[in-house]
Amino acid sequence: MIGPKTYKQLAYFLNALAPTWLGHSFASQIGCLKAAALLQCRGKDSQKTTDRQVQTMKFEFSEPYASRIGKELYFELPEPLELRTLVSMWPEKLLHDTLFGPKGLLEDRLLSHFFFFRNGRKLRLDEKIQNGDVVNVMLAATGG
Amino acid sequence: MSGYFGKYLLVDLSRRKTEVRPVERKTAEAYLGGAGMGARLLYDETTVETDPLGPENVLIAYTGLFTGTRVPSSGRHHVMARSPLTGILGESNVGGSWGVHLKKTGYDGLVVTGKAESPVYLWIHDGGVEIRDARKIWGMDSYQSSAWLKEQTTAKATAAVIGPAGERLALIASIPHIGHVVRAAARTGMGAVMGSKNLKAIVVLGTRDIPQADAEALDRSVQSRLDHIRTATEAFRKYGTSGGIATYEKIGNFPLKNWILGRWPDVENITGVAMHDTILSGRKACLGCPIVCGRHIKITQGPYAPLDCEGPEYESIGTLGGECLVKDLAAICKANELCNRYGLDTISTGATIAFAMEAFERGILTVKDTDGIDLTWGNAAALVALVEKIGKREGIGSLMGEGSYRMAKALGRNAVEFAIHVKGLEPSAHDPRRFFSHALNYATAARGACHNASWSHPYELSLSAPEIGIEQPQDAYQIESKAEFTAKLQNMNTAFDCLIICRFAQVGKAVTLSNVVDWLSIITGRKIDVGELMEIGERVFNLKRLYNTRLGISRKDDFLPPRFLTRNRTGEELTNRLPPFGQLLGDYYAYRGWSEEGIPTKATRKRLGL
Repeated sequence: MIGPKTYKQLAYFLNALAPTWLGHSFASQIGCLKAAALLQCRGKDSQKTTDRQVQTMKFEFSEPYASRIGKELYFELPEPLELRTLVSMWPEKLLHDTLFGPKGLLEDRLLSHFFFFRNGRKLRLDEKIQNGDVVNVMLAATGG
Repeated sequence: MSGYFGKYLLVDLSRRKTEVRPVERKTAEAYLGGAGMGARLLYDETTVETDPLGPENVLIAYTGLFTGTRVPSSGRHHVMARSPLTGILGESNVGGSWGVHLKKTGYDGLVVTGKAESPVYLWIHDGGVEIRDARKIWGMDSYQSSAWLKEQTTAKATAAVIGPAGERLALIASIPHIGHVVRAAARTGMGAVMGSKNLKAIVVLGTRDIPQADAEALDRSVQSRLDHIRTATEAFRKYGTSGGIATYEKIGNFPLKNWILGRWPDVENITGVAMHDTILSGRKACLGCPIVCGRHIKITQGPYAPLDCEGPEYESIGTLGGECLVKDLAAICKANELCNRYGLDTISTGATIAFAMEAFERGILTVKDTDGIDLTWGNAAALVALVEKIGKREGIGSLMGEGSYRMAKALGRNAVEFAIHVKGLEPSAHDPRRFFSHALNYATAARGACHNASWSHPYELSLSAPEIGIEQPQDAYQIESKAEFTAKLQNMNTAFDCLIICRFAQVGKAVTLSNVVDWLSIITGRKIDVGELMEIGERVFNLKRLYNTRLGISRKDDFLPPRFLTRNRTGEELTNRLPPFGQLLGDYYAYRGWSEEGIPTKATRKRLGL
């Protein structure tokens, strides 16, 4: 679990990197520290970032999330980071309120909402993500 | 005994006699209820000679120790009999409200034997049991019959009522349970057992309080967990059991084209998300369940309108949709509704239709055999038409009502090679090439290819159970310790079937094994730990195995269909592999304490008190 303190420190750390914005500012809309690390969050409209993807990692959202919040979300990473760290920096509109308890991200709850894949392989939250990676985000499948 | 009434009801339809039988404390403590008591009674009350469709077979419906209490997702019961489909142990676990009502009449379970001279129904209530004439509804579908039965009894009652498929002894007939929701004892042909007894329905309504050691403490404990349960299962509740279909398809778990295809771009049309965005009109829960996975759908336009009924769950979409490559969600909903109406197992029905489609493609079946129906893959109209025919046992539907394995044997040529089954039961919609635990589990589960016996795929994806040494999800393709992993989850989920608590309570760790043990101790007033509960699960799993081995089941029957062992699913990003089955099975027998032939050894039987 990532506590609030850890999260804030990380957000400041990334903020200090002064990331380059690739598109319109999403940070101003959501107005939170973690958005400072966010490079871009957008829907189907933009295709301009292919040459920059090596400098960023990309979350690629499937339904039901894609049509509700957008298809892609990019982070420029100063170094490889654990997936759980990256998820904790998602803008709030991506996250269900209940994914955060009083002490931070509740991973059991997170995994009941989202599954993460890289090159078709399901990722654990402690796996490292680096620039150039594409992480597919899908609705969790635990039933049936 | 806290948690029990300590008795079950025996009904002999041949003699029109009823009897109340007590349950000894030591028996209740050893088997708890549900699947445990069901297996004990089935073992004791039948023999090798028992004809599954003969009057000597017993139809058992047994509630669990949790049934009717505040424990969430426990409004369930377990149905058992010798299966006419497989010839071995038959069982099905059912939600809804029927089990709660049965228990509240003052009986922990019901055993029906014999055969009535003419169609009858049972009306079980607080005041006792009545055997009543059902000739007026023989031939009616389950919905029509249920409406009539409620007129004859009370609108508050729940009816376990067979449709025409069960009456006509279709071996894949289910027992729909119709109350405030519709649920079914679907698997292994339990509907045909009812039909063979001329038993059209069992109607129940009970209002008694269930004895518990400390109901207030249970209430407090459950209450403190409810917020977590609701939160942990929120996505599951919103999109239903089928919400994750696209994810399962991506990772190679979703069955496609009779388990041939790897990827299918049309899958997005038939997911729980698509259902949510188009035809979902409401959500429905089994009695007392905070998860609410049930769907209600409404279709007002198109060839299958009007449709205003329960929506299909994951397995039904997997078999009626994915296996047949039908991408029309409305057609799947219609086929699902017909299965409930005629009383058919959606899994076996969909799988048998997929088998027939492959036979059609291979030229083993032609339109002359299918009453003119074009069984091309993906033909939605054919899917619906075939469900009608199977339900009525009409034309090609008569043979298909026997399930895919018997149909394959009847067709001859090489048809048995692509009939996908284990011990005669078609698999549910989870691929053992994607989850190696299911390779073992399908082969060793008592009723045949049943994912619920271990329900282990979530533990190879995202769940853990540290109480039994599963500290984190196990790699799905891991060989080492896969046998132990699978057996432990089989034991745990068998114990859950004795209590009874729904598999979906485990989603998102909504309910943990520790919670279950705590609640069990509170209800019984006796401290029970994880080890004792796991041993009960192991005992019952082995008892089921012994029932089958008495019938001749051994290693030769613990197989996987050749397709799962020889044909890799291919497609973008798929990582399916073929399970090293012989090695896995050897490890499994050793861990279980079974002989190389798959028979529980004397030492194992002694250790478990069997």
